[in-house]
Amino acid sequence: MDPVIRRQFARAVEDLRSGTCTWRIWFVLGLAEVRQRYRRSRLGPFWVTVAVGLQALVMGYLLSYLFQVDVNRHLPFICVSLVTWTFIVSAVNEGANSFIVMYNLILQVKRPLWTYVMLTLWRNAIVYAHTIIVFFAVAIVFGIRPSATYLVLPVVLGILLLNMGWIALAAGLVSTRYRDVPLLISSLFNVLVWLTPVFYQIDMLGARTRFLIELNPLTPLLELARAPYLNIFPSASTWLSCLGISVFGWLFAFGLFVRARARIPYWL
Amino acid sequence: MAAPAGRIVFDHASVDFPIFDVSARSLRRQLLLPGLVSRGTPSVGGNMRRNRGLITVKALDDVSFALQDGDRVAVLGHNGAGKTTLLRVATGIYEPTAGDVMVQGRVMPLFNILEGMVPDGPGTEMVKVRGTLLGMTAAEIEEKTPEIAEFCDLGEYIHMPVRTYSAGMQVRLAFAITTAAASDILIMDEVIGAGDAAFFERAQVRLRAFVDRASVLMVATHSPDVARQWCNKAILLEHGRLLEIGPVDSVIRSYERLVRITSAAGAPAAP
Repeated sequence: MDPVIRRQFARAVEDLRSGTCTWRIWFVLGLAEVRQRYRRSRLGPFWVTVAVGLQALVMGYLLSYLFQVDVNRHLPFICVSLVTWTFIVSAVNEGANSFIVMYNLILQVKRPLWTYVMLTLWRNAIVYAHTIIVFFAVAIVFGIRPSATYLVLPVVLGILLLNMGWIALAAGLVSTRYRDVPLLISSLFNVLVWLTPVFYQIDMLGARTRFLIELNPLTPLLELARAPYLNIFPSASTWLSCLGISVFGWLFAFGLFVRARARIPYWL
Repeated sequence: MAAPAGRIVFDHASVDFPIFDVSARSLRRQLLLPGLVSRGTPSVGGNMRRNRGLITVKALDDVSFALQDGDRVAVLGHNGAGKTTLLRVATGIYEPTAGDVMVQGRVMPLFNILEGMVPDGPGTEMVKVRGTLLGMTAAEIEEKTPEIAEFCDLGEYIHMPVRTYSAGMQVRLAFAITTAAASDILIMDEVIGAGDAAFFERAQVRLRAFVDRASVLMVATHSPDVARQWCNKAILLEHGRLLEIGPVDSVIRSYERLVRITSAAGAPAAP
């Protein structure tokens, strides 16, 4: 291997390692940011919870009527779907801006760049943690009793985070160089929300449409992360797809990271 | 408390900055209008060149030097001579585009001491966030908070939101937190300070102790007085090239000569 690439490779590995290990920085900053965002508001972050709850309620009733499905099953589905989807969308959108908005800190002190991606993920994980509460309220009302599938929740959420990690990293690297990309991504998600089974179940579709939706890598990720909440154990193909996406995604993002890492401060 | 020996070695380090705003940072431009670049820009600061449709500025040009324990170095030069870039390379923020830089020891750059300010949070939260950014542990922060509050004369105001402080008081607090931390190599863009005359003396004493704890100091400045006061060595930069490194007094003489020449050349002819 070319010595320059080998050195960049070693530095990229070291960046990921120390960025994860110096967790105190992203942990403290993430908490401070969430606190700052909701300071002096009484409900604070729970406004998001309320908003998602209302949205799930309205869409659950409306869509179950339109699709002619049982509201008792569809509304909880919409609810967990919406919470997971909101997490994915904001993790990717904010991930794309991870380095751009932090230019002030990046040009101050040498820190692993991965720190700033972890910060984005951590902040979004905090928001996810208190929006998922709305699902438990819905679960009580609609009589969903947690079963053994809840035991795999830590694993599936871990896999979801792992994947958000590579997506946010790749998006952040490309966006810092090409400032159209964050805008492109946010427009893209307006379309993707319909090309991912967020508001409908995938088996409601005909074979041909279904094929198209299954090509979307977000489909298995979303399915994996929400199924256990609905007492469904994710299918073997979902697990396998997610595993494949994690591996290839990380290889891709890491390759990009090796190439672009040292250039990021110059691009800010 | 003596810091472990710090070392900085620049080995033919160069830095080329891509300037996207001039040509194109947007994907659209790269996709649709390849090769479209504004032409004939005169060279002002560092040397500009065009390389495959991308304008770059050479901010550091083949710089080599070595600093070791005990070195207190002033970085002198005109605006745009590459002082801040040099400091950022020494910090490790910019990896040089050619050549090599080796840094041993924990580096603390102090470009902006207000980094990590949370306006709506109380002073204690700013101590926590800024302290963490400076690499202090939770226990150290806990231990140093009363001393920091006392040094700032903040008293019970440390529990009030930072945005209610006067600008001078915010700087005082940031200064106190910063100088409570420790590192091997200190890097400053202009000497940090804090506010009003009454506070100045105490700040100077504290800053002196802070600097003495470090093994190596690098400070960019325009002022020969500041250089003499804080440093024993100096580096003179022009157009990103290292003109001279040596004892502070002799480099200051070269610097003053350079300033006279350029201001004479740049000034309109006497009537």
